This record gives sequence, structure tokens and C-alpha cells, in this order.
Amino acid sequence: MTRLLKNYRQHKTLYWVGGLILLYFIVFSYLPMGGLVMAFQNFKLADGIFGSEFVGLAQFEKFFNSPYFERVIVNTLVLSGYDLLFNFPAPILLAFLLNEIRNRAFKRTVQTVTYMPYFISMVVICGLIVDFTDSEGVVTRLAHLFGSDATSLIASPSAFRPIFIISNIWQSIGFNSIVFLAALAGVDQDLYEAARIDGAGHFRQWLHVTLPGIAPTIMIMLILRIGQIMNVNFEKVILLYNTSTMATADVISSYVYRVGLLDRQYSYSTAVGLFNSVISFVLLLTANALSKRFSQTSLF
Amino acid sequence: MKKQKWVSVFLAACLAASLMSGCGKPQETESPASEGQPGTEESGGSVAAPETAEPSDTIQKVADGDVTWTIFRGSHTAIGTQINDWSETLLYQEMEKRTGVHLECITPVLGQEQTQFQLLVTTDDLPDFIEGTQGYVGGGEAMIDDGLVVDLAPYMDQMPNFKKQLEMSDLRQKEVYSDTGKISHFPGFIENDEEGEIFVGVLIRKDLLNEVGMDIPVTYDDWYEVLTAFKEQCGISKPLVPGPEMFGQNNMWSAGYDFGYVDFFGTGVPFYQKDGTVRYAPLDDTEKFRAYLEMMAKWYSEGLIDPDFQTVTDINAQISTYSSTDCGACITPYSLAPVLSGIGQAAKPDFEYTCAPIPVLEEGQETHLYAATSQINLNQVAINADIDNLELALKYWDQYYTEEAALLSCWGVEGVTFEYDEEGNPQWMKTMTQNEDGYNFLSMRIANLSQCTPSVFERRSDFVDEFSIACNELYHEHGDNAYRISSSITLTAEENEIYTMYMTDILTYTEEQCIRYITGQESFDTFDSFIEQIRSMNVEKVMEVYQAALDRYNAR
Amino acid sequence: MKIKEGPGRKLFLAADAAVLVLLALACLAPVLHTFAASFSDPVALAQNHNLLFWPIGQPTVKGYEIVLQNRSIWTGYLNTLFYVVAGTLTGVLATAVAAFVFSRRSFLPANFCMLVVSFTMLFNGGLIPTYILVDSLGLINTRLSLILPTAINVFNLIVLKTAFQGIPDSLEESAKLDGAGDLYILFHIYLPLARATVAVIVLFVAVFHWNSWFQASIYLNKRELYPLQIILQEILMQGNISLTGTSADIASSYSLYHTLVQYTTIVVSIVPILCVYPFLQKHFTKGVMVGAIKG
Repeated sequence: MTRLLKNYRQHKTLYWVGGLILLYFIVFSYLPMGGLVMAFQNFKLADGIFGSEFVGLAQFEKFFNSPYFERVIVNTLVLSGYDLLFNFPAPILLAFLLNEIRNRAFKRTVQTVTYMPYFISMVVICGLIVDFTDSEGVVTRLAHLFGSDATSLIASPSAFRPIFIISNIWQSIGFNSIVFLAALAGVDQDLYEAARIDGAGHFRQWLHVTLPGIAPTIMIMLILRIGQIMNVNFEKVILLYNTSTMATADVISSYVYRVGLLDRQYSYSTAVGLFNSVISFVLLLTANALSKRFSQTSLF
Repeated sequence: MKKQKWVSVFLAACLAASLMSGCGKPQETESPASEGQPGTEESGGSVAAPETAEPSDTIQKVADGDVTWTIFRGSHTAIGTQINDWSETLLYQEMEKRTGVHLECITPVLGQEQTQFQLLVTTDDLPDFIEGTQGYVGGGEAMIDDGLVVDLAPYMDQMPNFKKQLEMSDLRQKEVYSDTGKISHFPGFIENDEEGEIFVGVLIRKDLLNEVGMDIPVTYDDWYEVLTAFKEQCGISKPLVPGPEMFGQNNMWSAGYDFGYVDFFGTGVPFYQKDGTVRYAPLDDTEKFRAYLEMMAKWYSEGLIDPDFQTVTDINAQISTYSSTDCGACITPYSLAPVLSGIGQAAKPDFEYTCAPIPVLEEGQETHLYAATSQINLNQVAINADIDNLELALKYWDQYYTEEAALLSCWGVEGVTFEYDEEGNPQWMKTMTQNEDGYNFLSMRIANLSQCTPSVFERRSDFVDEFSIACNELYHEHGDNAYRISSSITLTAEENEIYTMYMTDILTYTEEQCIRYITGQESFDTFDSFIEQIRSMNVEKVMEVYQAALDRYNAR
Repeated sequence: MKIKEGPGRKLFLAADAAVLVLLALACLAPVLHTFAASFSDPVALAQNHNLLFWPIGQPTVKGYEIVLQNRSIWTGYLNTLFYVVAGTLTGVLATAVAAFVFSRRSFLPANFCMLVVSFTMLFNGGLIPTYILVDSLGLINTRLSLILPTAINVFNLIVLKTAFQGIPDSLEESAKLDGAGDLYILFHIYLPLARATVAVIVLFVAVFHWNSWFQASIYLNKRELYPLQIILQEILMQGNISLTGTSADIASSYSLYHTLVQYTTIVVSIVPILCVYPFLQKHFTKGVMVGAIKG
């Protein structure tokens, strides 16, 4: 306590400004969080948050008891897992590749071009994907050449995950690499100079200057990504899935969406959202602790 | 002239009422003091009983331009292109002139109506009038019970025009009053309670039929021959493109096996009724359902069904698939036929779609399915329970049921939107049906007469082209709506919970399995356990719930 | 001092360039397709299943006519411009200040603050409570509703804080010795050094406001405040069949131009943002010399 007071006296501005920032979050994020109580209610619009009937864990039970509970959890985790495995490193690799290029014009052009697909609306991208992977699509025909016997990839449950992940990479690799490019730009150039003086070649420069230089950024992004594991891009799933691929495509968010079409109560989706958040938070804390231990970088 | 008539009517009514009730409080509706009149603050509170007025043919003035109310209305694509706001429509301006009441429209972003509505409820910020139920859980009745809107039933006597229309037929009363005898919204009536249209049809390629020299198929066996001929003789790869889901457009297709349905698109309830009992297709007659699936599976395995049919889910995909020269038949709103033909003709000049009747098992069989779920346009406008001049509001909306207002709402203004033909019937003018700026009829109609008004409409006004009229007649010929469950049934809160608890999973399961059977991914050996599984998912509980609601409806 | 490049290096660079070219082509494809489609003949477009590199059928600007002649599109653009500029200024400023404070090692509660703030990334009350809050602050139907609640994005905060942490403390210490206050240090030392990351945050915030649709759709119902995306969405929905209607003429509301307009709205929406990128790009292609700022 006295340490805090002493700290406060030394850094008054920091405390005041910090306090203001916290106040902002209290007002705009924590106050509304009170609404999470809806997850434990049978929320009725007319009764409001304070007047709705309290039902304990009933909404959660409704979710857990669904015959599709396991399926959607598994699908969510698997899709996120693959995304983490492939779509997380991809932008980093792109950043590294770009970093080695000397020619500024080439570098800039590639950068600009790769970040464009991010802005094309999901509806158009998914329309293209379906066109390429239906029974007459270009990618399907390619797959047939490689021995696949699925009539149409988009209706094939086993093809859904690869289609989803690969198109994720395609769409966001450029945009996601921007953070890493900025981190690369932030590496002190003097360090490269020093390494060169010590006789290090390109590869060793990369190993000893570049990599450690952006390691904190990579670790932080990884932790954040792990915290997002329960969120699969719902709009994309809805646009890509169909009755044939439900077995692998139906994730928590798309399932809750369909329930919400019948039952417009907020309680159910709030409950599932809360469930997701708790799991994500636990994962986040774990990832953060591990990262602190092994790499000295951490979120908090 | 009108005013004189009104005054004498008013005096007569006062006299009559004072004789009957003994309380001689005169109506003050025309004086400026009327809006200052203490109206009800709480819902259901009774208004100082004015006398029953007589129904009239003409719209009466309700105020002098000094009353403004707010109304919550959904948006439409016409806003932003043809008009900026609902208050710019001909209908609104005319009604304002003739009633002296100004309505201010709160219009949320297109597509967000329900969300906006729910948010306004939570912040207690609802406008004076509300269009529709906006997805409120429990519908209009719940809106009354939760204190949001006024129950109109006790005030019938103050609304002579509405009352007159309502009492014109038993059907109207059955549909409008809820199970407990309440009315939450002013409805829109259809003249003579004419049936609504089926708007989805089975389209088949006329040019291909000509090529193979066959007639429009009637039975499923006919269809089998025609589709095979399409495939083998014309060489097309998608003889039939059914809808992507079992209980959606494909209801048109399965009706021949004596199933009914209630809704075409979205999360419609897949229940129908036979003789007052709620049915669900897979359980209604498992033999027939299996036969249906087996037929479809056979057709699929022989290449008669588009291998990608389950992916044709959004509108772009549908237009592009159905208008392809490779498509022989499809199930879609039949008024799309000219559009599809237009697109297809770019690739094949004689490309043409025509309407085929719903396929049946035996010639002459009738089908029992229907599109419009009620012969009344239910739930048009509700009055906020906290409105501060209920009496005036009731009088205002009552005006919409007069003959003058009905003509205005349905057809518009003579010389501007419609003209009388030789038989004295209104007909749309060319500016509406073939607008030079290229606006289609529907949006012209909405831009002028914004469709949702509680009034009386003629079905005839919906039809504009020969093709649609012919198709509609075709479907009326061969079937009726005997299996329909009216959308005016209401579930209680507990019933609704049961429904939502199980239904999503049941629908997911059934849809997935049926598609698997059709595409051959699952063999029919598992069919019995499929039915068992559906039962074990509590579908019968859900059906019971619907049965209860249906019974209450029938008892009204 | 340049190191002589051996054959291994040359091979690597060639492979590097090849991969980048392939990737660039793969990413260019959907963009070209969109541009090409936006000028295409609507009938041919409706039938088309291929990737387009050039307009198909008879090229037309009808799509652009429909979009750009819409009554509200220019107010939409202006509104969005306002939201982007105001939103980016407020957002980046607030985020930078927060990131700076929480990155100071001498600020004891920093970790606690980060925990408090990160928690909000995962847990939020949802639509209804947030709306109630915004309503009780009197922000409904005001422009502030699109700027204030979303001012500080936690992800951006974390990224910027990480960047600030990468700057050696010695700079702050020597500046303090020279008598500089915290704000001076932030604006004259940290922001310039972290300019690459700041540029990234500016981009993220600007893009967020440019694309923003949902907040506007729930907080605003006055047309004159609508941002561009709402207007574009309306235009897009004009060619749509209203599948829940019951009119016999339902399909006459389908516009042949629907697909075309879909592509045109995308072009209209992304062209400005694509133009912004090159300006920000120069900030993160160059390296930063920490030494140059010293002293």
C-alpha cells in the first residue's frame, strides 16, 4: 500500500491518466457486462434485465443437452485449431519473405496487392469459393485429377475444413501480416549493423536480430489468437455450409444462430456466449502464463 | 356537404346514446380541446364512454393538423431510391389531408427492424403505433399481456367501421380474435376473404419439352420420363433442381404424396393438419415418406437431379442456376419465370419456362397445400399502451376501414395511380405497371401506397401480368388449403419454450438425414432408426403443443 | 557494408520472389474479378461461374449509375468521412495514451490494468445492455455514438503497448533527466519511434470506421446520419426478392442488376480505402534508427 502511494506521488500524471482510461472501460465495457446475468434468466424484453425470471443454469443445460452439443464444440475447436496451425504462421512467413526483398517497388506492390482480398465482402468471396468447388468447379476438377472421387467439394464434409482454412489464408494473409511488418520495421537497424560487423550472414542476422526482434509481437499475437479459439467466423460458415456438410461445418456460432431464428430470446445466446468467454479466458490465462515463463513476454 | 352529414349523424348518435345510457356527454372530437382530453395512461383503462358512432363510407376528420403521433415502421428498398421517408407516399399525404393527423415515421435500417424494436422495448422508448409484431416472442397476445400494446377488443363500439368489417364473416372473427378474445393489432382484410396466392411454382422448360415432344408432366411417373428424356435427349446436366432443403421449396414437390405444409422459406414450422390433428411429414405416413425419399434417391442416382442442389442456397446462386441452359425444371417463385427466361435467352433464344402443376401420384389427385397462412393480413398496426389519447387514436385507425380509405389504400388516387375501366372497376395505370424510370410494379406500389395499412384490399390489385394470373389459377385448380394451420394460432409462453427447446435440433437432424438419403450417402436400411431417432428427439411433445394451440384456435 | 551474396542467397531470393508473385496473383484475382464484374453485362454476369479478368458481355456502367445516383450516397460518403477522421483521431490518441501509460515499467498497477482491460475483450454484455448504456448516455441518434463507445480497441492497445515496450527505457530516462514531462516523452519520442506500429493502428482504426455498419444500424435511425455502408447495403437490397412477401408479383422486385450492383458497391466501397494504404505504407517499410533520435 505504501509502495503504491509512493509510486503515485512519483508518477501522478500516469495514475490520473491511467485512472481515466480505466473509467472509460468501466463505463463502456464493465457496466454493460452486468447484462451477462441474462444468461441465468429467462429474459423477457418487457421485463427487462432486472425483472426477468431467474432460472439458474437452465439455459446452459439447454445447450449442453442438445444432441449436437459435442459436434459443434468439436467442429469449433478443430477449425480453430487448424486455423491456428496454418493461418497464424502464414502472415508471419509473408512478413519475413517481404522483409528480405530489396526492391522497394516490388515489395510495396506485393504488400498492397495481398492486403486487398480482405476488403472484398464475404458474400462475394464465398460465392467464388462455391463456384470453384461445386460439381463443375475448377478446384473440384483439379481434385479429380489428384484422385478424389467426391462429386462436389463443397458438398463433401471432409473437404469443408481444408476449403475453409485455405480460403481464410487467401483472404487475410496480407492484412494480418501488416502487424508483423510494422514490428519488423521497428527492429533497431543498428543491431543489424552490429551483426554484420561481427560477420553474420543473412541467415544468422535473421536468427539473431530479426527473430528475437519480433518475438514479443509474435508471442502476444499468439496469446490473443488462442483467446479467440471459440470464435469461428460465423458469417463465413453460414455462407459456405449446406445440409451435406453440417457434420463438419456446424460450429457453435452457426448453431446458436439457427436456434435464435426460432427463439428470439437473448438468454440462450448470452449463455452460450458466456460459456465461450469463460473457456477463452481460461485458455488466455494459461497461454499468458506459459508465455511469461518461457519467453518473458506476456500480456499481463 | 360532408360536414353537414357528419353533424347530423353525430347528433342522431348522441340522441340515441343518451336515450340508451342516460349519460349525455357529447363527443368532442372536432374541437381543439380534444387532444387535451385526459386519455388513458395505463393500458386497458377505460375511456370515458362516448356513444357508438355509425360506420361511414367516407373518411372523417379526426383532428385539425394539431395531432402528431409516431409510428414504428419497417423500411423498404423504395426508401432511399424513390422516396426519402414513408411520409412522402401518396397514401400518407392523402390520409393526412383527410384526417388532419400527422404521422411521424420511425424507420430503422433495412433488415434491422426486429433488433431495433427489441432495443426500443428495453429502453421503454416505443413510439405511439407499432407496425407488426416485429418478432416479439409470443406475438401480439404477449404484447398485450406484457403491457406494451392496447387490447382493442373492448373498444369495438368506438370503431364502427372496423367493427362492420370484422363482423362481415366468421372467418375474419376467428382469425382476428386471439384464443382469449383479445385483439392486439388492427388487421388488414381481404375483400370477400379471397384466398391468397401460392407464389412458388414448379417451373419446367417449355423449349425442352418441345424438343422431346412431351407434354407437361402430371404424375411423378410422367416426371420421371420427362426428366430422363431431358437428360438423354437434350443432354442437360440438371434436369431437376429442387430446393436445398427438405422443408422449404420442396414442399411443393412432396405434396403429391399427400403431405401439406405451412411455409416456403426460412424457419417455417413444418407442421400441417389433417382433420384437426397436427401432422409432421416423416411421421404422418412413414411408408409414404420413405417412398418419396426413395423416389428422389433413385432420381438422384440416375443423374436426374442436380448434384449440387443443396448448395443453391442464396438468391444469386438460384438465379444463376435456374437460368442456365442446363437446368430443366426448378421450384421457385413463378413470377421469376420471365426473368429467368430473359436471362436464359441470351444463351438459347427459345429458352422459356412455363408452370407445371404440382406432381401427384395418380392423375386427378388433389393436393392440399397453401402459401398464405391466413386469409387476413394479420398484425398490421398496434397501439402503444401508453398512448395519451387512446380515443382519438382508435377513431383515427377506424377511418382506415371506411370505403373511401379502402379505395385509397388499395388503389390510390384516381387519375394518379388508377383509372376506372368500362365496368367501373379500378385498373392500374401504366405509370405503375410499366414505369418509365424502370421501377418495377411492386416498388411503385409501395412508394405510393406503402403496403402495410390496416384496411380492406382487393386481391385483384396484386395481379399485373397474365403469366402470374395463369399460374395462380393453375395451382388453385388442383388443390385447396385443407391442410393449412393458420398463422393466427398462438402458443403460450410454456408452449413456446418447448417448441424452441427441441425444434432446431429436430429440424437439423431431419434435414441432414433426408439429404443423405437422397444423395445416397445413407442406405435406406437405417430408415426405421431414423424415424425412431426423430421420435426420441421429442417431436411428439412439440406436436402436442401445436395441437393444443390448434384446438384453441378451432374453438374460437 | 555490403556482404557479397553467394549463390545460396541468390537462390533463396529467387524462390522468395516467386512465392510472392504467386501469392500476389492469387490475391489479385478476386479483386480483378470484382472490378471486371462491376462493368459487366448483367445478364451474362448472372450466368457466370468463372473468375473474370475482363468484363463479360457488353461492358456497362449501369451498375455505377445505380449506385452513384442514389439519393443518399453522397451524404453517406460525407458521413463516413467524418466518422473516419473523427474516429481515427480520437481512437488513435486515446489508444496511444493508454498504451503509453500501461507500458511504463515504473507504473506499478500496469499489469493489473492490462488484466482489467483484456478481460473486456472476451466478456461483454451483448447488444441489449450496451444499447441501454448508450441510450442512458443520451447518445442514441448522435454521431458520437459511433465514435465514443468504440474509441479504444483492446487489440490495438495491446499491439501498441508491445511496441512501446520494445523501445529502450534509457530514452525515457535521459529525457526525464532533461526535464521532459510524460506527455512530451510520448509525443516526441515514443510515437515517432513506434511510427510503424502507429501507422498500423491508424490503418486498423480507419478501416474499422470505414467498414462500420452494425453500430450505425442500431444507434441511428435518422437518414442524414447514416454512413456509407448502410446506404450501400440498402442499394444492394433493392435488387433482392423479398422472400417473405406474399404478393403474386414478388419476383418482379428482383432486379436484373442485382449481381452487378453487388460488385459495384464493393468497388465503390474499397477504392477510397485502397488509396489510403500507400500513404501509410511508407511508414512501415523503412527501418527506424533509434540512434538518430537520441540526444
